[in-house]
Amino acid sequence: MNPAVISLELRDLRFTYSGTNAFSLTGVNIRMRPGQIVAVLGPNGSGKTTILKLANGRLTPKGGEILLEGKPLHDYSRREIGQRIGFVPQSEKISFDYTVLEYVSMGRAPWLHPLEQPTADDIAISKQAIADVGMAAFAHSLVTRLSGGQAQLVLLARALAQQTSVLLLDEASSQLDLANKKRFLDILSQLAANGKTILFTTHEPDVAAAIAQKAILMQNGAVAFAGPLNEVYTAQNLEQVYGTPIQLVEIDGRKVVLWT
Amino acid sequence: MIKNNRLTLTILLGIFLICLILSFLIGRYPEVGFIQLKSLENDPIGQRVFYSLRVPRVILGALLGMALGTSGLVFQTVFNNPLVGSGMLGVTQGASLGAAIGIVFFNGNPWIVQFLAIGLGTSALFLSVFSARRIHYGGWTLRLVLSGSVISALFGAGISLLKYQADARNQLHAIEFWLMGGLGYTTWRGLPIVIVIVILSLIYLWKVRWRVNLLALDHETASSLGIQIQKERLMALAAAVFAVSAATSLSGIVGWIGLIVPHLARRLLGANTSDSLPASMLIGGILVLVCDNGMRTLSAVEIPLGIITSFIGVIVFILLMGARKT
Amino acid sequence: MKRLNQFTPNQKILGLAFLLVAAFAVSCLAGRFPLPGLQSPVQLFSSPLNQTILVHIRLPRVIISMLLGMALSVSGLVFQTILNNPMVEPGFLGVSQGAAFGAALAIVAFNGKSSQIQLLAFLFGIAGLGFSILLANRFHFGHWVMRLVLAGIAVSALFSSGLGILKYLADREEKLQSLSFWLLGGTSGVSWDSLIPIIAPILIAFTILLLLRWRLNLLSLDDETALSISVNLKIERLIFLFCAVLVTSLCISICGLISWIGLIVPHIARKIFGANTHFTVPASMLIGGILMLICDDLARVLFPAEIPLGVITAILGTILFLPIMTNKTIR
Repeated sequence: MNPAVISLELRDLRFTYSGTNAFSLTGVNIRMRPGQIVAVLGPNGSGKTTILKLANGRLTPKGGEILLEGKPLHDYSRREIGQRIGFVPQSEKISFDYTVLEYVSMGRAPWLHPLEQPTADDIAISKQAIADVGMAAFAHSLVTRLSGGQAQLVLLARALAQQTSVLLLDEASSQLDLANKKRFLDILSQLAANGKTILFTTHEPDVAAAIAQKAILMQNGAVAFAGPLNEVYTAQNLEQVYGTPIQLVEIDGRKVVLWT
Repeated sequence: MIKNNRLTLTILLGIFLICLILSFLIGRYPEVGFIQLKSLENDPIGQRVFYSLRVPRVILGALLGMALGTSGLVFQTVFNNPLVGSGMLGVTQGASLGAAIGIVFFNGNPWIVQFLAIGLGTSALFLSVFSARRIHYGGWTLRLVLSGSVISALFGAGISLLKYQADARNQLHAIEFWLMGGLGYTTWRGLPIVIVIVILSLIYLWKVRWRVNLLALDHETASSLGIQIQKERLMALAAAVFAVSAATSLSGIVGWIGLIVPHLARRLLGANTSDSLPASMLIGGILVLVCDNGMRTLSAVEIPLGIITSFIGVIVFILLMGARKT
Repeated sequence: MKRLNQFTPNQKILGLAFLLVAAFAVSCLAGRFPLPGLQSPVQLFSSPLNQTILVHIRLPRVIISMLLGMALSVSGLVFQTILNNPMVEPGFLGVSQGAAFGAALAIVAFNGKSSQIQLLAFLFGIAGLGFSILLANRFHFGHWVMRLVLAGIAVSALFSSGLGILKYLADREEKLQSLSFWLLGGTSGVSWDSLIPIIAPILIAFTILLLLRWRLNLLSLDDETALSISVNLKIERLIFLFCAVLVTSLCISICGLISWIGLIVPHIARKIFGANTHFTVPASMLIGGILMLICDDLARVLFPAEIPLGVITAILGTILFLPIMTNKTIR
């Protein structure tokens, strides 16, 4: 893993949803190296999720470009993107009683030919992914019976089974209780230590502060502040973006947000 | 779990094959019970009954059941909605209107009949989904069920126009009974092309049986898994519609099989479509063969298959709904 | 549409009422006796035969058509509002198929006279609704609207497979044909004898619906909200549903299955008046009455052999349905 390599770069992205002039995304620049964790913060409607959808290739930018491992994203087929970028949604509604293992092994899809079934190897990889998020005991439980927090861990496991170098997470830790949140963040840190590039959106500045090296503060579809966490993460910047008085306290070297 | 599933599938396959073989042998000719293949050799009437009536009927029955069961599972998975089947989405009504038009106006030319059945079956599905998307209230499941039932009624209205058109003595009776679904009028006419369409569609669906799982996922996640979700959904739906429309064009409306069979399959083998898709195929085939054999053997006046399947289907549906805890 | 907005809702209602009266008058003059087309009123009263035809044949028929249109439309509106869903029609909770089964039973099993057909159709229509509600309470799936819809679908399917068996048992020359025509629906042959007993209950139900028309709005709210503004959900839903089902099944019992009007008219009413049931209840009644009178006139005047009314409403519904569905918002 060469740290000089840029794994994912968003260069000067612009985007508007067709039909509405209400929202536009402008001038988004993000550069990520393997092993980096980047947090995207900002109020509701500031464009966080749109960035993820662009990075995932689901939306096509109206300007600028996205480079994945140095090549433009649109040069990759959907399948090739799936082999390189994993996506963890906030939640997913499923009507059928899949077991956790069956559900997680769907993450193997980009590696399988359309007419293929998951092989024993794929099942083993899925099992490992489930174990990695600490859900091994639930491998044969039904996904429809899981609690919100467990379901989020399972969604993460599915993205792990995908074995991608980049992970995108959309508010993925929002429903977790304290213990699960810690576990979730520890897993992310561990993954980054092993070389994964992680881009995640969150509403909780504390979550970002706990694990991210870089932070991006969004405001009205534009990047307000971006850079190393320590530089971006000041009370002044946060106050400007969220529009409410904020205090930062530092406890054991970690920044915690207080609002008043 | 997985081992058990393999065993269950093997047993289902065994039951299906036994049903298939028995279906060829059982009947009311020369008397109620099993026919002796040997006795056929010197019996020209027997040969005719066997080859031109029973064989095509059994083949159509097996294909119809397999098509309905499989496509029901595909519809439920793709729409992430356990309450739809080909009947609930208007596909069977559309296909039967198409076939009826072909029969009344084009003298039953098999190619035209298939073309119209598949065309109208597809447009019914399209309309159901389209209008469900346009409604702004309520969950997706409910919206799809309701707009499906309205679209079914729309095509049903077309059929009643045809009925009104039809000459009361002969055609009316034929249309009425064909609409209730039945294999009683099956001959070889039109069957070969149906066999080809249904089998090709089923082979495709069987091949992608694991991929079908992914079609239930959200657009965002599914495409992050490297799937061209729109295209694959379209392919799977097309295969399902083709199979159902083709079989329906000969059998008429056989209801509720497509709705309940996938539920039974999931009960037996779990939600994973790798297993539940082949199981739906087999259970559908078994159910239709058993119902049809029962009907044609037990009584001399044959009650249309569609009546029996919808009666059984509704009862099973009520039990399933009553037992389900959410 | 823009030009319509110049008028106040009350003026629009008045306009519709005027149209209904006009449609009623025209319907009395339209017919195929002595010649196809309209008669002048002078001609109408000139011969005793003409008068007899008007009073004993045409008038009851025109009245029942009007009531039928009003009843189906307003109950469609009630169902759509209470179930908070624009895709339901009044007969679908087992009422239509139940009534059809009842009528078939009367025709096939009892060789029914028209009074028996009416009675059984009415009883089984109500029974269909009863089964649906009972069944919905036993289901464990989703929201109550969902359960009710599923139960309605299941009960309808049960009755229609029963209907299938009866059709099957019917002899194909007479009974199957008269059953088929009953199922297609129509107002031909309606006499004062069958009309008079149902007028009073229909008018009472209409009055209740008109008096309570604003409160119908509240039933479309979320349960929590409705409760918080002190709506007694159980009782009020029951009153509205009861009135709607009563008028629907009385009309079905006489006229057979007439589809689409109950689904479409509420949409037209909402299109003109917005969602407020204060206006859409009377508007649905008036529009439904007008449309049904027109359909029935077409049914009896267009061809020497009468077209079943259900066929005409089906054509009309199909034509109107797609534009309504492709309209920007459906509510």
